Amino acid sequence: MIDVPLCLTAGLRRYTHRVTDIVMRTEFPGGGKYITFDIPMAMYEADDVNLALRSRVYVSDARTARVVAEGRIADVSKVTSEEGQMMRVTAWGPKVHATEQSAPVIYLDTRASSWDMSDATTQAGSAAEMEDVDDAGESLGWWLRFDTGNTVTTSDKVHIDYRQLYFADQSIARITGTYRWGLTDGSYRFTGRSRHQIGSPFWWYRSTAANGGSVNFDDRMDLGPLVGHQLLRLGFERLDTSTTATQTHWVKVYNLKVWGLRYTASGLPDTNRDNYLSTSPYDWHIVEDVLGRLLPDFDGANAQVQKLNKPMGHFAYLHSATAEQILADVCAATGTMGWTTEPAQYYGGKTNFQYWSVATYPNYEMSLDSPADLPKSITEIYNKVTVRWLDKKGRPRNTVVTRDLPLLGTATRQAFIDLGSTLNDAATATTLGNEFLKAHSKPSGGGTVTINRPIKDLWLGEYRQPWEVRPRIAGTRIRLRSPNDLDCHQMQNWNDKTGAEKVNLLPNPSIEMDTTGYSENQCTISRSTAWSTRGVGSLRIVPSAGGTDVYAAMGGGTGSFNYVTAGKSYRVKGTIQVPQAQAAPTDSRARTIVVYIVAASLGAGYHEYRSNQAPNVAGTYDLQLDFHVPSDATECFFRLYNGSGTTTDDVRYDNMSLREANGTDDYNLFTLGDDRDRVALIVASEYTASTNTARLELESEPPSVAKALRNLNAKEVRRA
Amino acid sequence: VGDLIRFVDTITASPTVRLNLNDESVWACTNFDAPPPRLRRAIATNLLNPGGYVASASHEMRTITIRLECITNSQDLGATELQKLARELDRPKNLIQYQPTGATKPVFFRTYRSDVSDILDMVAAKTFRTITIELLADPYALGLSETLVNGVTINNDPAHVTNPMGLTLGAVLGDVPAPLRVSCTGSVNAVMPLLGVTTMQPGYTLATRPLFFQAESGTLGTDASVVSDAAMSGGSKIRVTPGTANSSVRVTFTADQFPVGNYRVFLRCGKTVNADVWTVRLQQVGWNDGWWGEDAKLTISSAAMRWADLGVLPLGSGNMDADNERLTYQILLRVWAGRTRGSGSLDIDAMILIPADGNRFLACRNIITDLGEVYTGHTIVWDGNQDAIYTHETSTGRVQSALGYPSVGGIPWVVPGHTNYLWYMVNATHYTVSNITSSFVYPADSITASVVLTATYFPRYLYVRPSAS
Repeated sequence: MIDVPLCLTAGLRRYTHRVTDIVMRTEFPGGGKYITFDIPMAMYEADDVNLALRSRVYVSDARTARVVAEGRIADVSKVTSEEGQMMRVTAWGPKVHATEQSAPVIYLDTRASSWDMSDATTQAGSAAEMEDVDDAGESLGWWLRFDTGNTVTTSDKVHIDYRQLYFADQSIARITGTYRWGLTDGSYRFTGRSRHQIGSPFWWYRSTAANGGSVNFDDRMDLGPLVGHQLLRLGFERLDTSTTATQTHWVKVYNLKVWGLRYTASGLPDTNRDNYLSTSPYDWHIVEDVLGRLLPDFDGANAQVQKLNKPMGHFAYLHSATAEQILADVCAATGTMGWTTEPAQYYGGKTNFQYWSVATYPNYEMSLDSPADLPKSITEIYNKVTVRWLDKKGRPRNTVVTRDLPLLGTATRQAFIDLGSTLNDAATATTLGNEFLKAHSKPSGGGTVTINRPIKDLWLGEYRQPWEVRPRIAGTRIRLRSPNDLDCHQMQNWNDKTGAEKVNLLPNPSIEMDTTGYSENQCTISRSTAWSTRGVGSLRIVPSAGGTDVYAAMGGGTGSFNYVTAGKSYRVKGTIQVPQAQAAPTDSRARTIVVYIVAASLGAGYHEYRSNQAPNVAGTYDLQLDFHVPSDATECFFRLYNGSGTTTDDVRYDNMSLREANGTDDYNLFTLGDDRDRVALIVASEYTASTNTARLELESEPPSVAKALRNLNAKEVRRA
Repeated sequence: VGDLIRFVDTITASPTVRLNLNDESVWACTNFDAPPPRLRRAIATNLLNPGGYVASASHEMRTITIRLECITNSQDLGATELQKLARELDRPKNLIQYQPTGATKPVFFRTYRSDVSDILDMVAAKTFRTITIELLADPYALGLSETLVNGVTINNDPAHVTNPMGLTLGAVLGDVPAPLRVSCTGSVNAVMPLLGVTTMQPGYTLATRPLFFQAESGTLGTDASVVSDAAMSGGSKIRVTPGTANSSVRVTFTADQFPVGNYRVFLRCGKTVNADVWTVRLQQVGWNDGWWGEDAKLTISSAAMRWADLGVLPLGSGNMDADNERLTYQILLRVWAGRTRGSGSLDIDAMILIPADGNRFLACRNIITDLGEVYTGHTIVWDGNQDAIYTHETSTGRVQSALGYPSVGGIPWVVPGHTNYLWYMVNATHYTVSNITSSFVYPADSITASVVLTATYFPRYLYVRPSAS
């Protein structure tokens, strides 16, 4: 049977036999965008309750009873034409759910300008926003003072207020900062107050006497009076006795950081004080808050959120943002992460959500003998960029960054980036400019292809129907084979070149007897039976005190050529156990498998390839890396990184494998750098049931920091 | 006696005849032209390959052309007969019963509002007209309803000696696949049943039926031990009492001669502490370092035994037609489980694999219905003829809801000339429904539950019907 085995249910009714067509669009990031279908029906039927607005729509696979796409009816049109009467229905998918709520939200607000002098300030005093408060050149803050010669009496005060959380309808989670006194006087106090909302009374939570020094303060929401409060007030106050102010009657408050109370992914307020780190929220903190705050139709409790632990710094949307906008900013800031959804598998279920690092190797492969349009354009190629930014005083500055690009020769193509209203500095502008030029240094690998037959799923070793090929978990890549490779473009031949499992090239992959084949660097290695995923033994790596370049070499070290053959592609993988989160500092390679290759074709020096990184959270993780050994390679060696300099931060590796990619050399699953092939990211697929075809929209890379720069103006204004 | 060609009200052996088009008194059929339906195909072709790839194909509607003679004694009588014909043609839907002289059994064409394409008045002593009508019709001619299963009990234990979670259906009649109409009465509340039919090419069999593994018969993994329990399939289960929170292999299953294809996998398991959270995952060890299934998070606050949905397991080139050979696999399946919250244990009873494939040798259609609060005393009907699901009170026949019930997947078909196996799980996927925004409390699964099934269908023919098939 080769009918298209898709079924469509709207509300409680099954419409498969009545629809004239089904079109489903899925995008990355985000997942299902919409489902559209037409149902010829007489107008007297048109008030069918199953087609009511917000009614649930599911497209499912009749073979597996699995849902392929889901949505809620958003548009219903009664259409009459020469062809008769019909209902035209559009159901929005989960991606659109991420745009349905827009709200201000503050994760961490570090801006001094978010504070204002309070009208509670009495005549004798004043407050001014200022920079370089700590004489170190970087801090922004406030100077609260009683001016020289003024009489300061009991209860005179200088206050600054923070109201942004109130306007965002959020509670305070944490406030940190530093204050520095101009004098020592027990009658002057630095005060902290909070209140629930405008009009309600303030509660004291801090009052310390002036002692002439600097004090770091750190107050969190579990401090009694702060619980559930939205408004903050810091002050410089005279408690008793009158005095005449001199030039030392001041306190400077700076490095102010305010954390808003977040939600957990399950939608509950995150009241665990330890989850508000003193430095910055991590990327996944924000993702989980978005799930709990703005995405009630997503299954936050069971969401797959990878913990990259990327500090996000100042992150506040004072003017409101949608979940889609916030997630886009988080992903862009990480540069490697993406988010997507998969439909709920049962009627009324919540949508599955995933925040994960974008895959770097292809899921699918197809021959370019289907309709395709893969332009190669110079449109987005630049070798010079002007970055406009604002300094701390809000004055515009320009930084020009260039990149040597042989493609353009002596020609200049210059772009302009406006960093908008965010305060920045020259170093940041240079970094972003370089990122931009790097991302725009070669033509995009994008375009469109049309799937009109099953294509190979490289991960599962089977073929996928057009409706199954869509951007999925962690971003889906497709490898487009050149049509002039006549040996491979006949589909039936493909089977011949896959399927045979290649030999594991490692002599001691499971560390069952001893640690033969492994050697140590700044660590002690041993065979451990405390944990294993294969057999009973694993390789334990215990750091020696001294540094973070802690690893076990797998095979020889620098200068050696191990296990592989030049000109072929390989996959190395293994399982790592992280018994406990590693203490800082750690190496950037911590908890990864690293391959080093030396080859003239790659350029001078060691070329380093890293597997995915195990999160710095206790658990067991699979690590994997696909790599190609150029035919002129002279060195190739492997390291299993621990990466921690703390002697109690041991890790264990097990189930190691190194296998040649399946197939012959002209059909490597993971060939890199072959000009005949292109590996692209599927950013959208639109499936049409009436023709059983899926049109894929491809991009070379996911939106990164550099890519996002084109839109930063709008984003940054929003982030304020 | 001429061929039987007449408009009738139902597909029954003795239907009410509304207009006989070949009574050889007033009406005579001189030409009956009902060519079988043509296939509409989606073919991918280009200049880079010889031939093309047929991505999909389905039958189009058909047109039945009938030439009639109408002879009456007067113009008024002739007009009356024409009016009878006009009224039949104008019905939104109609049925033509067709049975050539000598054929044992009739077929029925489902027709739609149609028209007269030609009328020729003959000059004769009587009123004599030749009339040509063109009827738009469904692609298939339907035979009389056939019963495959009548009141058979299906037991909700995969190890039951009688009809364990399904049964092999008898020979299916017809030329092409036909939708089933399954009605079911249960001894327990049916809340999220899975109904499916797996069709196997002649000579092709499933290794065991049903495809299931008893946990206690597998190779035990970390922190697992066998515990006797009469409420479990096979009388035992394994209990996992973990020493750490890590996910580990708890049990490993192996089997030979497993047909290539996709399988929907469910694991019957239960927590010993309501509030604990466990994550369960399936690994197939083999090709290219194996396949990992989806995480099934057991978050529901209940310690009862339920089926956890472990996703779709692909074995080999599941979606590709196995054109040249019947491939079988030796499989090695590992069940991983880790406790992510709490302090209790996890009980694992059995694992079942429901075929879910479009493979040439193993075609399947499965459906899962969320029947919410349907309860004992009601009959649930999966009506493939109408592509609808509804219930009625078993004793009175009173329809409970005309709206239908939420469902995903396709109501099963049966395929003639093949072995058809019908599956029925009383309670699929109780863990994953824990995230449904519903106040309904899904009950636990019981291996002693059973349902009584009746399955009928209208065999489908491209033209006429043989006497016995």
